[in-house]
Amino acid sequence: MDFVKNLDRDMSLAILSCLDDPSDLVRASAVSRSWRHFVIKQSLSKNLCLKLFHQLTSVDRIIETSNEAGSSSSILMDDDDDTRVLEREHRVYALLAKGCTSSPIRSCIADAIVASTTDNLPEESIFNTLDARGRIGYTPSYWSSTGHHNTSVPETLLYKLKGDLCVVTELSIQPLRANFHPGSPIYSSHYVRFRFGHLDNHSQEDENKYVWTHTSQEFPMAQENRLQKFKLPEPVLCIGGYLLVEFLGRVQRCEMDGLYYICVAHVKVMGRSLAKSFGVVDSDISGKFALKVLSYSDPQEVDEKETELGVREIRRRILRQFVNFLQMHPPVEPL
Amino acid sequence: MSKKMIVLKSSEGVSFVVEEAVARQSKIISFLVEEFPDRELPLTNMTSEILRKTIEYCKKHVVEDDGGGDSSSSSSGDLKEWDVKFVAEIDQPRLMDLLMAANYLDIPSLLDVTCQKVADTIAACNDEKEIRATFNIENDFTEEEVEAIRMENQYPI
Repeated sequence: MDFVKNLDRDMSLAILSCLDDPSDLVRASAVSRSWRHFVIKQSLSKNLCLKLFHQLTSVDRIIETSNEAGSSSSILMDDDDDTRVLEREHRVYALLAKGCTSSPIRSCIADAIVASTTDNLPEESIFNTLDARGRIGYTPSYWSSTGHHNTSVPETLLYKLKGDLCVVTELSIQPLRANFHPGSPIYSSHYVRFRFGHLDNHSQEDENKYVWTHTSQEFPMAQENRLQKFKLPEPVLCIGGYLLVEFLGRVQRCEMDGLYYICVAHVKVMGRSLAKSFGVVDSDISGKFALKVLSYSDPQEVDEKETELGVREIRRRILRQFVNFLQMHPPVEPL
Repeated sequence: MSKKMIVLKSSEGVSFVVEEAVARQSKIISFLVEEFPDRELPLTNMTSEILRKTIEYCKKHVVEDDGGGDSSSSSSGDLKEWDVKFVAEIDQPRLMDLLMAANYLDIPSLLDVTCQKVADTIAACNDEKEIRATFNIENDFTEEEVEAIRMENQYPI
């Protein structure tokens, strides 16, 4: 029996709202005119997106780029303007749901931005955490915080992700085992926590400010020399493309100066980047974003042949950071 | 102690004598027995077959709900399993009838179970053609529309 045609709206809605795979809804919308009408008019693709990723409640409008506009004409030609808008929304959210759930899982960090503190620039820069190798040549590769007497002083590392929209599934951190210190201590932290968010465009200050829209639980971190995985209970859709890694509680004292440090050899973020299909346009005062459609092509097909940052690039950035540091901290004139 | 019984009558005129607690799973019947106690309730849009199935479901659930203090989470898991088996044994047309009965009689848990089963049936179809065949739906798109939809869903699904 064609229930969409024969049963009342609420029952068809109850049935089709049970579908939890975006591709099921795409198939349902290709069954017949009445099914297509129903899927579109009830915004089922959008509802499913919101169910899967509640972070999308902060998206309140859609922008299409002009070169794709021609492809968004209505299929059911006899429709009014409202339906046309809903039909466009259906396409966009179907694509979004597809990208969020089935585009390939890859390394998601585009760049390192800044560390809360750094003990020695350039050799202990945050950029070293982008490289999976513990040492490059004979030089150990890691970031180190400055030392502190108080073990509760936290440290943070800030990263830019690949794309305004990224579904992050898993994060890994390798603390540093300092073989060059007596006893080869491991400078991990008690806990690690992850925050996802975007640049604050309304900040009046010169310095960049960030708005964190999702904060993970605190994961206990082992004082062990290995890449430790922290699996999010649910994949998190990061809108705005910034990740803050927070290290809570210092565990290792450096014997040379008696201060507590946190040192990290590598940070790795796995997830689905939607950079090829979507961008977001800055949040307004209310914290709502516009979703910008960049391409309707299959997110799997336009997949980038992207290589990880090369050693030379990392070295170049560290040097740049060092130069910035020196410019900001002019040498003290000798007395 | 004798349990209070009520009589439900199917569209074929077959009477079903049911414990009141069982029948009260339906919010509609619950309302009717209060308004019209000691009356036979005619359910003219339900066949005997569907009414029997509905009563079977309500019986199982009233027993489980009555389980009392010692019923643990494992019993609710068993009940879920029973529900899955219950709808799995029903063919497509009767499933829709049962879904409509659950809606008509206002039995929310049965409605949830049947809706989920229909959705699972849709999800199990490989393409829209299979959905049409399963639910006996006519393809009323024009050729141009089919092509436009194909283009829209160009990526493999």
